[in-house]
Formats: sequence, structure tokens, C-alpha cells
Amino acid sequence: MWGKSFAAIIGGCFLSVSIMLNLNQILPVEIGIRLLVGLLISFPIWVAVMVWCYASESTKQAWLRCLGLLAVSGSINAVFMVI
Amino acid sequence: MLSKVFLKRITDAHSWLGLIISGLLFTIFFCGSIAIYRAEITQWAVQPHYNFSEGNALPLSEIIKKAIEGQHFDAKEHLSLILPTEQKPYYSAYIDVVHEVGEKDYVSFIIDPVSGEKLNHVEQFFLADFIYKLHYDLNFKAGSYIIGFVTLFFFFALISGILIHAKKLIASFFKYRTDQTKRSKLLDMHNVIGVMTLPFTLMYAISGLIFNLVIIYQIAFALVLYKGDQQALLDDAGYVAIKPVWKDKPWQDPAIDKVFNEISTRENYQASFVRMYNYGDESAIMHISGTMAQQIGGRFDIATELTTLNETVVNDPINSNVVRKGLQVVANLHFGNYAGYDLRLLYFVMGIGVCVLIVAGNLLWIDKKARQRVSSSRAIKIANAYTLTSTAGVILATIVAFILERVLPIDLNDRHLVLIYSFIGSLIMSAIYAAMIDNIKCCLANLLKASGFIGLALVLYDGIFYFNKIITLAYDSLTTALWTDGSILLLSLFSLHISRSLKFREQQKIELTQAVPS
Repeated sequence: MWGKSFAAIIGGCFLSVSIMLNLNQILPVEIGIRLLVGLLISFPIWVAVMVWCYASESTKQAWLRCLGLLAVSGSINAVFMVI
Repeated sequence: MLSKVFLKRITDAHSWLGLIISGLLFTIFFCGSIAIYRAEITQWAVQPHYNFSEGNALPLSEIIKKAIEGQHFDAKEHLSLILPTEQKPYYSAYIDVVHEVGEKDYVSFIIDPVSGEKLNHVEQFFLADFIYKLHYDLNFKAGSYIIGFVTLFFFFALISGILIHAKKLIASFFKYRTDQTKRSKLLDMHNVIGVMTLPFTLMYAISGLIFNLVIIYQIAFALVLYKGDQQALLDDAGYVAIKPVWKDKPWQDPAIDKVFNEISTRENYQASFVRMYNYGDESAIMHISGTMAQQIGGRFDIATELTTLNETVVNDPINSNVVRKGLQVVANLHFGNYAGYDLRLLYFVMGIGVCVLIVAGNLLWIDKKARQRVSSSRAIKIANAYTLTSTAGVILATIVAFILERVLPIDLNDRHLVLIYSFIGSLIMSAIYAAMIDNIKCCLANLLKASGFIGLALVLYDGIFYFNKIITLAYDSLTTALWTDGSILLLSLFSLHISRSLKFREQQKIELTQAVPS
């Protein structure tokens, strides 16, 4: 359980930050609303990742799930940073 | 459709994490529920000790002069005033002073608005703030992050609880089987409270996370979106810093009272706070803030240059920033301060309901492990002691802090430290007692009984030493002390009642067990 917890906390944190940053770039509204929406939905995203990690078969699977999704979301972050 | 394997894994995580965070979570909810009434508790602590002058209140400028009189006031810093209200008949003043490194950088005073007399230091009445700080940072700096992560796990427990209970969420909405086994009763209690308080607990989890862990996203926003320019982020979020540059020229006839009266008498403006910057200098700014009547999330912040009368920072419903307004709504929802006493009572009841849910959850875990015989008796004993100390122990420690707030001399040095150490001491004593007793329910009953009797002793003490004062205050429409004593009496009786019924049931069980072999 400890291994899954670390994946849930650390993986969930990075994933929620990454997804929230992508949403911030995509949402077609003014900056204030984007910041507020980012704050309001980032924690539910984090918890959703936690559920996903705890529902994994093993610690390894929990980390693989997090890192896989983080690779995709992180790549999109990188694209947004470049353009 | 959720698979059985998925539900099993989520249930394991729910109960495992739930047990780990239960101690701090109980403290968060118990202290948070009491802290809903922190303004009233402060008034209960302060008012019976003083006779506030009758007559016309001094103008704000005079109060400021009286506040800094005799102090080594650092005019280049701030002077802040929390204004009197209907139930708070005094100013709380916080004055930044010239200090050495490592020394305290401010002094605080309770000031009579009519005579301008400094009655005492604000920190001498620390109880309400202590309980409130326990709720959000455990009274130490890094505590807010610990509370933040406990809140994160609590949010997970809520979501996993919904998933576990999803199929029966509607069908078993009011299901409480009183005639079934102990486990069914505990499970029903856990589920019923969990479902009924769900909108409230979800709101608490999200808002609590925003308060305590927002720094993570703030850093991410600043680094990635704003390329390290934190000030630009704060500007977009509506947090404009007031930083007047000291001109070293004395001000001429500053319009403190004129500006204050003009703003505080605007329609729906309820001023509650004033802060002076660069007091005495030509660059002085007065910042007035407060709430807008009849609006959720309605706040105003107006900074006025006292020499030119220019309003440099304005945040009100017309000129509001979306982020500030949104976060203010979140704060109002969290504190329940957007309506009257009845709403706060509802918040209190639901908060205590969650405390019961936490205890029921722990008892379920202990019961399950005892049945399965997978955990050693030592592990179960530790879980028992942990549950007792972090629940009934916290209740006992809180009421001990209440009685000390009343009986300790008001001029005692480091009075607030006595309060803190007494709280910690009571917790340690509860832990020792819980470790010594095998029967969890008897131990719970005894700790609740002790809390109930201390509460009764406190009300009795007030009745003997402060009765006339409290009644006189009530006649002057300052009813807070009376209501608070009434509430303590009611909660003490309730605590004694629960203790008695727990003891009675345990006694019945013991008698039944003894009767079976014969």
C-alpha cells in the first residue's frame, strides 16, 4: 500500500499540474477564469489519479500508469512552451 | 459497472488511509466545528473581565494615536485595526514596532473605543485562535502542509467511499439497522452520515485543499505560464501589493476620519479592517476592507492616499477580479459566514457528524481486523489507543483549554503557552490512560465523562464568579458570553449522556457474557 501511496501522491501531483497547465493553454476564456478553473479542477484531477493508482494491481502498475499519462501530458506541455 | 477487484482494492485503500489520517482528521473537523464560533469564544473569554466605557466612540484617528502612544512604532511598516462590531465592543490593534532580529515585530492591544484605553494584549486571550490554528496548521508553520495532505487523503476517502457505496447510495440513503449486529450499526452510521454530509464534505475537502496546498499550483503557474514572474501572476489573480514609497516629509492634516467615514457609510459596505501604511508621512495610505452586505463572496478593499485622496487600489463588486471573487466565494462556503447563526449551527452539527463518522470508521476497522484475526492483538490495541487519544482525548484537551482560558489570571506572562502545554499534556494523559485500558468503549465513556464534568465545572465557575457581569452584558445586548456558557452546558450534558449510555450498554454486555456460562 505504501508504494501505491507514493505513486498516488507524487504521480498524481505532477499529472494534475501538467493537465491543469494544458487546460490553461486550451480554454478559450480570459486569464482570470482560466486561473480559477485551474485551481478548482486540479485537486479533483489529483484525486482521480490517486483512485487510479490504488486500483492498480501493483505498485509497478501504478507508477507505469502515472508515468505513461505524464509522458503524453508532459509532451503537450513542452509543445505549448515552445510555441 | 465497477469490477469486484476494483472495489476491493479501493475499499482496502479507503480503510487503510482512513485509519492513518483519522487522528488528524478528527482534530481538523472537531476544532473546525468549534472554530466556526471563534469570534464568539473570544468574546466569551474577553468580555467578562472588563467594563467597557459608555458614550460616544472616539474618531478613528484618535484611536490610532492612542494605540501607538508609548510604543516604539515603526511607521514605515503597518498599523492594523480590527474594528468593533455589534457583539465585539472594542478595537483589536496590531502595531509593528522597531525590533532586533529574532524579536517579536509587533505588539497588539485591546482598545476601548470610547476611552481609548489599552485594556490588554490581544494574545492574552488565545483560546479561539489556538483552536482555529489547530484546525488549519496544528499551531506550527509546516503544519498547514500536513493538514493539506490529510485533506487530500480525506478527499480520496470521500471519492472512494462514493465508489464503494455507489450501488446503494440511493436505496440505502436512510438505512440504519438498530436491531442488527454491532458491525451493521457502525457501518450504517458511517454510511448514513457519509451520504448525508457529502455535499458539505466535498466542499470542505476542495476548499481546504485550495487554502493549504495552493502553493503547488501557484509555483507551477508562476514557473511555466508566467516564466518566473510571480508578480504578474499575482496581478492577474487580483492580489495587488500596497507598497508606498516613504517620502520623509511629514503629512499635513491627513483626512483619516473623513476618508474612513465616507467609505464605511457607503451603501452595503461593512468595514471591518483598517491598515495604515507610512503613518505620519506624506506617502501615507489607508487601506480599508470589509464585506458587502447580502452578497456571497462580496468584499471590498480600498486603499486611499491620505494626502491626495486618490484611491489607488479598489476591489469591490464592480471592480472585482475573477480569481479573488471566486476564492472569496470558496472561503465563504468554507467558513459558513454568508448567512446567520442558523447556518453556522448547521455547519457545526455536520462537522460533529463527520467526527462521529471518523470514529465509526475506525471502530469498523478494529472490528474487522479482530474478526479476521489477521492483525496481532498488539496492533489492535495500538489502533484502539490511537482512536481514543485522537478523538475523546482531543475533546478532553479542548475542554481543559477552555477552563484554563477562564481561570488563568489575565495578566499572566506567556498565558498562551500555558494553554498550549495544557492541551498537549491532556492529550498525553489521555494516551497513557487509553493504553492502560483494554475496553475501548469503557475508556471512551470515561474520557467523555471527564470532559462533561470539566464543562459543567466551567459553567459553574462562570456562575459563581461572573454571573452578574455576564447578565449585565446580556442586558446591554452583549449576549455572546451567556450563549457560549449555555452551549458549553448543553454540550457537557450531551457528553455525559453519551458516556452514560455507552457505560450502560457495556455493563449489559458484561452481565450477559457472565450469565451465559452459568
